[in-house]
Amino acid sequence: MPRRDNDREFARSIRAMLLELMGRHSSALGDFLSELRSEGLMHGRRDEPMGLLDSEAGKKRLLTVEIPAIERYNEGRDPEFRIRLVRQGSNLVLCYRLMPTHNIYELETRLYSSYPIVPPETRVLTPLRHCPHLLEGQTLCLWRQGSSRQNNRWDPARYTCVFAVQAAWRWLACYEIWYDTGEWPLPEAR
Amino acid sequence: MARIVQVGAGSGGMVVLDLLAREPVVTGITLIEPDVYKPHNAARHYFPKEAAGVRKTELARQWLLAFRPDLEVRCLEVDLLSPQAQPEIEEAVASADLGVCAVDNEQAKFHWDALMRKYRKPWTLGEVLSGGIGGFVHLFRPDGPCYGCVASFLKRSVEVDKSAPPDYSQPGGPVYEVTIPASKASISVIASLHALVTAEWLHNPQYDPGFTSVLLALRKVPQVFEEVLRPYRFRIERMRECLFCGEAAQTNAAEDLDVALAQALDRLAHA
Ligand SMILES: [Zn+2]
Repeated sequence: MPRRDNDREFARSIRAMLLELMGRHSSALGDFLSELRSEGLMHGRRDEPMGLLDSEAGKKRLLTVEIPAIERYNEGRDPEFRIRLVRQGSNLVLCYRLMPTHNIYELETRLYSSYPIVPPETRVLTPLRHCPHLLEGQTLCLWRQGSSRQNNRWDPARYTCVFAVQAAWRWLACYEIWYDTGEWPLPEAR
Repeated sequence: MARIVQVGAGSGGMVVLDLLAREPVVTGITLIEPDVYKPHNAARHYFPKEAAGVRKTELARQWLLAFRPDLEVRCLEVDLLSPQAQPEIEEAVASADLGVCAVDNEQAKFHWDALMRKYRKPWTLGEVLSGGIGGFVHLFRPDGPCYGCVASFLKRSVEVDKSAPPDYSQPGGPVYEVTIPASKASISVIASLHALVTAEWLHNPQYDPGFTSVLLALRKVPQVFEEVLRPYRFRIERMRECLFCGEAAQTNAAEDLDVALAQALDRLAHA
């Protein structure tokens, strides 16, 4: 957005006003601010933030890290147990089956537009019995979903989406033990 | 003679900006900040309630020019993550000598890091912990660890959040997160430290304070900080296997990312 010609003059008046404000409050301030508003100088631009599928960093991450990891996982694997990657709007969804011991489970792991900074979300599509460490919609509780670095266990510098698949495998293995014994084998959801 | 590019002019960013603008070595500043000043900002910011409704960039610009009329101030009233704004943001980064990051959202920090690495610019980051119990200042060199390396290291070695884990007894219950606001004093201490190391680095490109990250405890918190005003210095190395700056991520992606991505997605949709 090109700056208007009268911006400099405008800026000068803002500065004068601020300097005055630091000393005493001006009654003309209300008028001055409505003038600013009418000049359209009050609002910054906002649009949808860039994400996994529409930023250079996101595309590179997919091409150099995530897709090769999925391909390594699929290599030599029975087609029934391979990961399929499906695009859904601005998200990518990994669709796969796991068999930790004797049962087969259908799962999906969703990579949101904010992935890999925000952890992937894994849901078990096969109906499960209600158990600890299971959130609404049969979503697995695998990482503390806090938004700050300090309260979130997901590490985007070390984990790929296949790590989420392996974590789901471990979770299901725990689920089967819990199903048989009533005890969750790991103290914390992992 | 240095130009800095700073993202964020919130309560901490404004302190950093103010202090850096007082350094004669700083001759130009580009400020990236999309927000408009709101009445509630007044409690922790430089400007009165009456300034509500004015862009933070405009307020900052006038503040700086009041004592540094010679300073060349450029304002980008855009969101750092806005796709449309990337060309002008990249241009600002390319023409700067050093970057200053004063935003507290992870997505933005990672994006800033990617921009800084792309243009090989040194940069600094200040972070105030929830409740103002302390804060970090980090220095990033173009060949050093990236923000991903640093975040990963700190995640594994430093615990500064003792908030309760999610409530598993109530699956499906609200996932709440408590961010306790920090006091203006805490914000100012960390922001001043941020400005201090940034200014030292601007004066001396070989500046090495003996750490890449420093954590300053501002309050005694059981099991987190046993002593008040104690610094913890970290010299964090680059992780060879880092998925942002390591070998795997350095492998040249295909020339045309969109074509390569479409092909790969097509392949994996039918795996
Ligand atoms: Zn790294």
